[in-house]
Amino acid sequence: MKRILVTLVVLGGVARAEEIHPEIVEKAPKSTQWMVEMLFDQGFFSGRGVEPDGRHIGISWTRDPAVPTPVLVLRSQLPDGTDVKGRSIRVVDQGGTVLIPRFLYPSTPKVYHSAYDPSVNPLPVGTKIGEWTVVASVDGDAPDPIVDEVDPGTYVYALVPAVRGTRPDTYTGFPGDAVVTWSVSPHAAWFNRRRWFHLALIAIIAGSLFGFTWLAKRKELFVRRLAGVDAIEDAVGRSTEMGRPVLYVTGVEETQDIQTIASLLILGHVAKIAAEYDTDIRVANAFPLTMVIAEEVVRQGYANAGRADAHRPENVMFITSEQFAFAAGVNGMILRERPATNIYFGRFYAESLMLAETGFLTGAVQIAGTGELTQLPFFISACDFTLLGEELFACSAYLTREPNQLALLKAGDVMKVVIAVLVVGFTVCATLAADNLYPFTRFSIEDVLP
Amino acid sequence: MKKTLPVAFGMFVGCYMVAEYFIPHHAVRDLSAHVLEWGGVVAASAYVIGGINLVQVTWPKIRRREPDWGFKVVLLGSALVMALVGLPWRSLYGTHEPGYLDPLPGPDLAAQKNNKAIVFVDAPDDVVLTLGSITTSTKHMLASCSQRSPLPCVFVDPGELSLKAGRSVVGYDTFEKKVNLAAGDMVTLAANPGMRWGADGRFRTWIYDHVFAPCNATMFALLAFFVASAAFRAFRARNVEAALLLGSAIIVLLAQAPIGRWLTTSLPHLSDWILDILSNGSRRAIIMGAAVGAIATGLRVILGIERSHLGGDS
Repeated sequence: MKRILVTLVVLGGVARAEEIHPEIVEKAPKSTQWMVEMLFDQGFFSGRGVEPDGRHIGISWTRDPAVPTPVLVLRSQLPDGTDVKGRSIRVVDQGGTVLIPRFLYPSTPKVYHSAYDPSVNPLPVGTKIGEWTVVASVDGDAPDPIVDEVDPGTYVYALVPAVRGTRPDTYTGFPGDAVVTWSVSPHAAWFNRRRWFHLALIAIIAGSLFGFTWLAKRKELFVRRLAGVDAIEDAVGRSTEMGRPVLYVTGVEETQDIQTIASLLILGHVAKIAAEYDTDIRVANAFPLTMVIAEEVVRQGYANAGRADAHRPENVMFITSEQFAFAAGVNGMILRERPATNIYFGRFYAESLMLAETGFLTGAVQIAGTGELTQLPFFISACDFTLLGEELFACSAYLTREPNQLALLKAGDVMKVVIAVLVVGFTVCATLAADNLYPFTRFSIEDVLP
Repeated sequence: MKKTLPVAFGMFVGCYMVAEYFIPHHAVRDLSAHVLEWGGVVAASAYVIGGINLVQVTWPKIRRREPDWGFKVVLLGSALVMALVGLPWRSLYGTHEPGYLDPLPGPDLAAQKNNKAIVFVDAPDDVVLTLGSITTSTKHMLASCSQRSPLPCVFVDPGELSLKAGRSVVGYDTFEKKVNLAAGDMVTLAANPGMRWGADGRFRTWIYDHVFAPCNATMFALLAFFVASAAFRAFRARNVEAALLLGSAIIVLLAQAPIGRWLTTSLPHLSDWILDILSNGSRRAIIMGAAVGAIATGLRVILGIERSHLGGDS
């Protein structure tokens, strides 16, 4: 736990009073004791949904005696490694209401600078005044820390008691004692502990992968039949018999989308089958980068079938990145060229039904696969075969039947079992906690999982 | 080498991006931001290839006068027009400031007496002016406020004043400035915002708003008919599962309509139960399965187990 607890006992105000009006000393209020806490630790930030990336500093304070006066929090950056002690500070001249240059420009006290009147010039968060930046304005103390986002470096904070003006973010006075904190630097973590469970899941799947890879080399792994994938070859054969092309749509998302990647992986196999059957395959892409990759994948598919010469690059097309314009373009292809097989693999949105219904009208065999939950009903109602969610991702491994890939499918199954056990376990725990059964009431799921 | 190098590079970048998810340190995040920027540059440059592909696919069909070749002419023509109007032509011959402020010397005594400042405006009628909280144009201003200037004008309160001048339609420059005025001060705001070219220019915006957007909306509207057609087919009770689907659909549809509440008040509760318990449970199962599948696919590619996209079955 990287915390710094700073106690600043402010005596400056009393000393000044002694010099100017000695009779006030007896009546002077007790000096304010500031308890300032600076926080950098990972638990603190993660608990507030903030990344412990070394760009955040938490600051909280209480005053003794407790004062309800608002506090203006200001930040100033120092040269890296500067070590400054916490201290009290004068922000206004005696009895004045204007922030003085000596406070605003502490690094150049002998250079002339103008004062700043915050009663007419608002100081919203983010405003720069002199060498300071306004971080927050809090009514009273802040026992719950303020999280300040900063660049990596060294900083000091000024906590200035203030009286609010009538206009927003204006201040008509600065009574009481202001303090400057010790110099602080944010600390970055090298591991986000809130994500330990994600890492554990990856470790489980990786461990299972190695286990099943070892097993796959010794015995044949069972993979349940995927009717939609089995139908691909039949559908391509039908296209060959009818002398019509196969249409393959890679979805409407960009290349980095995992469903587009899965679609491109399957495309290679479909292209190989199409090449073997000597059937044209038209590939419609919504993004040019997807088109470039798809063209390469189809070329390799033809090469794998030993028919590299039959590949026609112009059959892999970039249509447009606009969703409905893409739907219109593909619908036009379906109606003009009347492909005998339409394959829709990837991420789809509202255009899914437009494509599938148009394909249905032309009497094509349609195979769809998507992980986009909202579009599955549309594909199921309009297509002959639909790969639901995970089946899309399993399709490529299913087609290759390669032991390493099947091992990864099995590893995924292990993870699903782990998740199912966790779901059941946590459901039981939550139910028991709801019945006030000790010790389940002591824990929250947020304590265990991010 | 042709396959090994891409696989090794893909493994390195993939593992880094996975590790980055667990490392919150700002140095790692900054590097990732750079890598993602490079990805953006590659994706943007692919649009050039996309444009070439468009011509390669379309032009031969026009040349051979294939069926519906006229549509291809429209496609290429539209693409050309959008490319032309999307270029920042004005940067070729330089830009001029959309406006400027010109303070007039000396206070206007009458305005000072009334604790007002004067803003004179030298701008065409179609320029929309925002002076603090007032939005107006020269047509609606006073013809004269002072003998010092014959320009249309407006009295404003002293203090900080935000001035903004732009056209009533998008695609033009905007002039914005803040000025501090004391009582009796006079300032001339001269503004003639020019038409912009490029992605946010007048021509491109007009074509987008008046040609593309209506076409887009038309396509979207067609969805209603596709839904009706698909629902008609899906809701035929051919077997037990289809009958269950039909029954659920009838309950949920009726519960959404006033007639459902009129028939029985328990229908909305039944509908909520179907959606929240039966449907939601199944949805979550599919989502979890898909998430696991996505992780497995990602690992296959990152670890080089899946290489079909590089020319091998595995």
